[in-house]
Amino acid sequence: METIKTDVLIIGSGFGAAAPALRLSKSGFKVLMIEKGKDIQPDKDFKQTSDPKYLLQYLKGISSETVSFSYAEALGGGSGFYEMVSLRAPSKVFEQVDSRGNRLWPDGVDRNALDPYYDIAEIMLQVEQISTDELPKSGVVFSALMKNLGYSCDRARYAVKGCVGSGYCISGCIFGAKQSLHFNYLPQAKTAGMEIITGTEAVSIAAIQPSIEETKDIRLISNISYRYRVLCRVPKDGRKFVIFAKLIVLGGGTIGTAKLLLNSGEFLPLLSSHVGKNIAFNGSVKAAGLLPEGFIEGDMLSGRSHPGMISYHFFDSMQITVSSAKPLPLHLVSAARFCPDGDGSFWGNANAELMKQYRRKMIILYALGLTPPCAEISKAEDTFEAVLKLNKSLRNYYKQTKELLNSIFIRNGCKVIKTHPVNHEGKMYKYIHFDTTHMIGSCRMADKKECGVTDKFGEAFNYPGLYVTDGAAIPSSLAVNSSLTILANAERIAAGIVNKYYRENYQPND
Amino acid sequence: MGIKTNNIIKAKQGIFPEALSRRAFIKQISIFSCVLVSGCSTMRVLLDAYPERFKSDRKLIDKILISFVTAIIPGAPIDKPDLTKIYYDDYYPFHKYLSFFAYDISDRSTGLYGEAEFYELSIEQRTAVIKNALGSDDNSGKLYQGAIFMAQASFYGGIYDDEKGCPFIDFHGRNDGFSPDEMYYTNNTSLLAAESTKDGNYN
Repeated sequence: METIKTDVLIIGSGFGAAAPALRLSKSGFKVLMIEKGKDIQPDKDFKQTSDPKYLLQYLKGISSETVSFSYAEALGGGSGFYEMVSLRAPSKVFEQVDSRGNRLWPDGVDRNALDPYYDIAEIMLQVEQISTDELPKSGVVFSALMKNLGYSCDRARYAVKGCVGSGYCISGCIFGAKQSLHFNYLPQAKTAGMEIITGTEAVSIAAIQPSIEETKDIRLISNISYRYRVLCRVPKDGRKFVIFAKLIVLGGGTIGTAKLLLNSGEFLPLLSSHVGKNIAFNGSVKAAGLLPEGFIEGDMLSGRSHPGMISYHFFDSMQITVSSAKPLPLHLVSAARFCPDGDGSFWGNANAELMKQYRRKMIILYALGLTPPCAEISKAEDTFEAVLKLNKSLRNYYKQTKELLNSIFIRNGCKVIKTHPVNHEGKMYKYIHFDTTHMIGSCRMADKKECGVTDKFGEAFNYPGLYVTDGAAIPSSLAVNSSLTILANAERIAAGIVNKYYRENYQPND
Repeated sequence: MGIKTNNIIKAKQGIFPEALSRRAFIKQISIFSCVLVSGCSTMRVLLDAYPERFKSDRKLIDKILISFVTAIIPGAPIDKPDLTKIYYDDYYPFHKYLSFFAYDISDRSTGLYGEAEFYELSIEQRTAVIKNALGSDDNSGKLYQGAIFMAQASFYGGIYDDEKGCPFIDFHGRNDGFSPDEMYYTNNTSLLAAESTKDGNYN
């Protein structure tokens, strides 16, 4: 079987992988990145389309009756398909505790510790707060609704430059305005010497018994023997090969990294039993309404796909933030049945009349909250399932949050639209269902092995040189979009790796 | 019952190597709703036990589908070229059960309204036929829910026409951006709520 040797193997190419890829390449290490998804050249591969045949090449998921996790599989990970919202997690996020009163985040990792890395991430992605002049109409509508009730509402921050407002952000920006990883981290890492192989899946990781003489400096990368053997597969042709690596950075995402480690259990026998567990998901709750006559109109289609605003008004009291959404028609109808109030039918005349109001009169609100890390991925034979048990606390959270969102509508004179999330059979879910792209924590950082998979430096307990730097490492819900926090934490961990290891006689070019 | 159980097992093991999220569920609805039909319906599907005209008469099937879609979405233009395309598209497994679906809806139509074809019924009558199917056994309901979903996703999503999108709901499709007038409200500050942060990040 073909074998490849490298100092550092990076598995994945999204927010969690990109920062270590760049920092380690620039530090002179031999870095190889493998990505399961397709290569993407934004100017050639992105499309403005609602065709599922295109979208499903890149957008994947895992779900059950109570929860759905969606993610991207492509070079650049979710960065090509997300809405560019780039917000720092509030300080309170880092003080969340578990049911025993133990802090979820490791000691010393908090907003202050992450702020320097948030700074770096924001510079790299050119993150800016949206100006009032650039607020899409639906964002102004949302802010007006909040103003009427005496609530605050802030302009959000985005990784965007030169937006033309086409509204197809989540199918990939064809204008180069979205500052996805294809424009910064990945090309810079390549320039620094990193090699990327796409369309290649890491199947399993095995630990190799190291042979290091105790007298040698094990911080010098050349003194470290190959510690890990990674079996890889090219799905297109079934070809397999092996990569030997001294350091591995797992950046395949909350779902991808957990699956890989669950598949590697027999080869990494000392791995924590927390792999795949403790998934937090920002408790996304959505509601839909119709604006009253005489109210300023929104526009679901013009302008960037995220409406520009976020409200922190309820963060201290309810631990939620509220934003509005501008889904394209396909995404709207595939998310839920929309039933005009008083008419239970999700099709027919009343529904068609409702859809005619979609563009300018419909408003979608969503809340993100600090729901506890209580979901998991379980493996049964060759399949994986997302598992979330709905306890009383989660039900109460859902009910109260939904009531809040609906009350924003009602007190503004809006008509509440009944919505029913549907499952893969087109049938309504029986119970409450959480649908999210913000899942995190499947291989979380912790102060001790009994509580997590890695230490606060991202290194797996019992497996030196094996790092988790993606959403899997983040231990808690954030109540804001997770991408910037994942990236900042990955920068922090990468800085630690660069500090810990070095190459002999390396002279950086810059 | 054995066949139904086997189909369920096959659906869970062979057709779904991984569960998919709702973003992927156009395809999954087609697969699942078609496999898990009712016991006797399954037999009819497996044994091809329905009249030949529903297997070979494309014009008949298309008339039925157009009538179905325009009952789901009243006002959808019947001459839209891709109005029913999704049902024939072999990317979605529904196409394998298209003939059975056309037969089933015709059968229900006859049961309720006698000899008139489904496509000859008024919209109210077609609505009643569809409601009848949705309210019948669980598995038939799933098939029709899937067909309804496919109609809505295809039509409103404009999935076969990126250029035009869906004029019915003022969805323009592909574009090079919008004019400032279309995107923004000028002088919007009087409309905006007070802000609680200095830069959008909450400390």
